[in-house]
Amino acid sequence: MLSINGVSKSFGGVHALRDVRMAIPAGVITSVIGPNGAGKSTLMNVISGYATPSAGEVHLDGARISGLPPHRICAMGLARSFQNLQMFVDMPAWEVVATGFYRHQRASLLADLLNLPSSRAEERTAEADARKLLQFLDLDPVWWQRRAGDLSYGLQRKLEIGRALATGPRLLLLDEPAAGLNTSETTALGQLFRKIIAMGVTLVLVEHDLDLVMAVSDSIYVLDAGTVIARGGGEEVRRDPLVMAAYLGLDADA
Amino acid sequence: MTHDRLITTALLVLFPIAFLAAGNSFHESLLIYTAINAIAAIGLCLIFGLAGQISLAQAAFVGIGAYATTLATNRLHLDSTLAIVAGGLVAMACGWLVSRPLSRLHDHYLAMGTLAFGIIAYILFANLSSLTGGLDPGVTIARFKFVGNELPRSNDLFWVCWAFLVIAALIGSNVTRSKVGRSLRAMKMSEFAAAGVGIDCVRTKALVFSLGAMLAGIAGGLYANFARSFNASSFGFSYSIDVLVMVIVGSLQRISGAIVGALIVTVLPLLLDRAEDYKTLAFGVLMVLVVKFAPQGLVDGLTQIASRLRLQITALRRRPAQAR
Repeated sequence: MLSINGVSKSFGGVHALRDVRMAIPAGVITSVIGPNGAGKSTLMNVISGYATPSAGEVHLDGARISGLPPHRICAMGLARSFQNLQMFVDMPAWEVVATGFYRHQRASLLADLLNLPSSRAEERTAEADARKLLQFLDLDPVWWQRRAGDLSYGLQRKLEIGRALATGPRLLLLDEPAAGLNTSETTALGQLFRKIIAMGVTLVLVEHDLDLVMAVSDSIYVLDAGTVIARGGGEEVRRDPLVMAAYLGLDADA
Repeated sequence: MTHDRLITTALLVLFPIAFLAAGNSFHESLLIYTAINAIAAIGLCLIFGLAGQISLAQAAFVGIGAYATTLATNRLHLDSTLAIVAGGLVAMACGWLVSRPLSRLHDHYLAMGTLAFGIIAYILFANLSSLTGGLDPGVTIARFKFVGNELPRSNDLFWVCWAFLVIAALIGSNVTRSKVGRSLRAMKMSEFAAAGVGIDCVRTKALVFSLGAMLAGIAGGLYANFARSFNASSFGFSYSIDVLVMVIVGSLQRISGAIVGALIVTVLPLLLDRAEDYKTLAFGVLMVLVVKFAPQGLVDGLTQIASRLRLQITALRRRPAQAR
């Protein structure tokens, strides 16, 4: 579904990504792991249009997306969350989710400026759909009207996933969704992933929490110093000498 | 925004009542200027308050509207009201053009960019004498006619200004509560995430700059018709600052705040008429107090105090019941 063909990205003399190749199939959870500085976030930014690759291309269902601006990539069915929360803090929680419907809302600008029935009907639909999505996320209704910035970190992360889902993506990129979550929140997150897959959305995770990655991933790519050093299932990757070396600092030959 | 529609409606209803009760021509003209300033402030409220794009060019758009209206009235002999609308549309087109290069700038760079545009526009107003009359002698617009009829008194232009203010407030508050407003607020809080949910930030900025410029242009057209004779000095940098002060003092995010701010900034200097030298000082102190104690503006500050009071009153009512 998502194919990354020889993507490189360098910042000045630093090669953040070198000839990265990935083929991510539809309907499963693929994780990208790697030590700090491996280039995971750069890869996410290249895929979602926040950075343009120095070389190589990214294709979504055969259509080239590398080089397009983020809002266009979103319109093609790829949504993402952010590693450092990019929350609309001053909006009520439900409205943060509703921003995701923006690209599906069709009432004309004139209808919005004049508050015509078409605009009002669309707003009512957006509110109702946001409620459905919040229920899907298992977010307690007591939070729905609260200012998003006042919600706990874990709930804000959830809201971010909801906002991304609201855009109606075929593929969802989650950048460290478990960062800063406690154990029970992480477990719940794993269940949420399964529900998202069941909706027919393909998931790509970039994650530090190896327990979560091993528990939920169908396939794993390991990135180190900007290159893919291993790929495969959980056990395969765990036993890979290069991966052990990268994570534990062991010499691969030892 | 809670209560914004209610407060805005109340203010809009109070306007004609105040006008009818004003009694003298001077107080009437104050209300007319307040309405004109409020329209320009609502424009900036959308650009700055809602979308977070600071603009120090609002005076330039007011000027563009004023000159376009004057040219349309004097040379094209357009109906006065239509000429005002035309002035708004010309300013809107300029706003759209200006927004394109500015859309890459943020924060103080954007402030500097818009400031530069404002100054360039002012220099053009002052020097394109064949079109604008420059600083001296300036320009005089033909007397306002409503569908061909002269107004009984020049102050009756109030009703035209008020009607435009009502339309501006309606458009403003419709924007705030529609998906357009949501996309503007999203962009203000995180342009990154806004792009991530499919909002085209360049287009959205162009839209809000155009809308804000259109309202400024209409304010300019009304100003031209009320002042009748004016010159470029009306549209200098200090007027941009005045409009900015209106929005900051009133409310960053409420349409009602723009109206309250316009009232304060229009009326306060005249209350300090005898102490002209202290006008700037008074504004400075006012700004410091507002930013310190009601950073969201006076209207938000007051509604917060009101809701806090209401909470305390309900708590007081409950207390005896709990004591038993």
